[in-house]
Amino acid sequence: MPASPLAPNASTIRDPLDSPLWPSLAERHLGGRPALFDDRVAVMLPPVTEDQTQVPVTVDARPLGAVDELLVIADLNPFPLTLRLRPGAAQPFVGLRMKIEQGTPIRAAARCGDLWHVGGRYLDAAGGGCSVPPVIEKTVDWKNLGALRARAWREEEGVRLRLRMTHPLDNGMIANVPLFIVETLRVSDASGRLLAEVSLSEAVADNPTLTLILDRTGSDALILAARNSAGSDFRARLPIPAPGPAARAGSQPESP
Amino acid sequence: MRAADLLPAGATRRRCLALGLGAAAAILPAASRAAPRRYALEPVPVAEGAWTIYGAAEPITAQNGGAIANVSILDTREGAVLIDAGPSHRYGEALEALARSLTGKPVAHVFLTHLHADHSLGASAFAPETVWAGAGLRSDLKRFGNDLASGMYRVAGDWMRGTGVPAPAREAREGVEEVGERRFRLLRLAGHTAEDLCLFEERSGLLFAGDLVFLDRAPTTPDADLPRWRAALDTLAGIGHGRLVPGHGPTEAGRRGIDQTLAWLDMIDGRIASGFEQGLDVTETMALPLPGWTEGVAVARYEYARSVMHLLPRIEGERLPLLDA
Repeated sequence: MPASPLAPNASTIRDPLDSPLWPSLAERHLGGRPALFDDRVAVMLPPVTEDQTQVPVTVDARPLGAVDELLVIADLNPFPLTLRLRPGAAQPFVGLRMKIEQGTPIRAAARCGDLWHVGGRYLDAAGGGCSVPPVIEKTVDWKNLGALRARAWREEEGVRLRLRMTHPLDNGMIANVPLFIVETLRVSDASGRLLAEVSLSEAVADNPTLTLILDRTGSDALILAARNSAGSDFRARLPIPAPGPAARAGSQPESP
Repeated sequence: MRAADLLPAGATRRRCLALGLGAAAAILPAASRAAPRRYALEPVPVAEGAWTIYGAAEPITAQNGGAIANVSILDTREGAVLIDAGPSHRYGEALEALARSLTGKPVAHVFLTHLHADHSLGASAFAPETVWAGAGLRSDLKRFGNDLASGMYRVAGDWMRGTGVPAPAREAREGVEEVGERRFRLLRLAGHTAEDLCLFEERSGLLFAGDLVFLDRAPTTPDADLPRWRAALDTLAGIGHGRLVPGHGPTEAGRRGIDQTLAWLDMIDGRIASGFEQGLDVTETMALPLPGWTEGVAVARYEYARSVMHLLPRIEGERLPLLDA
């Protein structure tokens, strides 16, 4: 899947998804800087939308090298800008779960200096992730609000971080449920140096679940700090395991 | 019957649908969307006085109208007995007419195996007093039936017209139900969903396994509990059945369906757990290669991807280490 930078037509200024909303979204979110559609920004989506309140999306712009910021934008969502990653010392990569109101292009825009590189794919969906109450009554785990689950893997290119926070992402569009979201997540090393900062919008799914890849670090721990829209802070320390050889061998027995 | 019994039946039906819709489109392009859809049900004999209508080995679409599950008809002195009722009111009506023409009698009993729409919603075409379901299924239909039907209207569209939520008036309990000359042993199991009803008809030796068994079509897991599913398959393997009618796929003697379903559950379980251990997110775990034997299983990659969406988030919620605040 990694597109060769030399492939013909890998970059274009014409929106390959032909979305009527894209020009205004670009104007609103790309700060007046020029944008290029670029296959090196990959958006991975499921083959079918199983649950419109929890759509898994992975964005991978690592073929671009270092990136200043990475946006995830869903053209036809009530809150199109879904997430912003500032990878201070991290790879331009993020896995997330989001809500989908209807079928929509899902974009990722990676800024290198003054130029945006934009990739994306169309996600088909039947409607109802944002403004329609979930099919099965949502239960919020208030007792564990802000609980952080996380694990780190030391890999060749850096530290892979997966985390899940117990917290609703109420977007304020459902009657009698006020806005209540996690707004930011900051990942630092043990000395307090900021490695990555993620801003989440109303469109991120409940119990935000993220995958990030941080640059290689000598630090033996990560500090995770989240803040929600009520101004509450949540912090936790995650030890990074020592480098091990068997980390990603991934062999398993096969059934006949 | 071998797989060949399924394929021609499915292929013929799909061809009929394609022809019917294509012809309508050629004459009345504007009206073709609203043209009434007709299910062309093709009964295949599976024992004396017993037939199965095989579902297409596909996902539910606006083309197949949700007719993807197997539905069976048994003749008895007291009338026709149906195992499952298909996806829609219209399917239920076609099934009623077919049962009447095959057996010369009205439908006496409809047994629903589980909640999923492709098996249950067609029961809305039958009088509630003829429809049987386990206690769990009866209450789940009350709770989730509307959402289930709404989802089907979105995906299958006009095929669903007139479909309501079935309200089975008869409770299917563990034990034997005698219907005319037939003896149905009812087993209330679980694992594919919260409650899966299986029926073993002692006279014919037919085992109707519902969606606890899939054959040559990948199992679905939106409501699955894998340990309970494996235990249910063990129970089925011990019955000593003759031929087994799975929820999806061909009817066969022996336990190939049971074994293939077990192997599939082990395969997805292993892959998804391995994805989690490697730190992969959902779409990355979906991209893991599948073993070669799954090439013979219809919609394997599609159902594997769905299963990753069902199961990996559960594992994350349980197994990602909880950090101290």
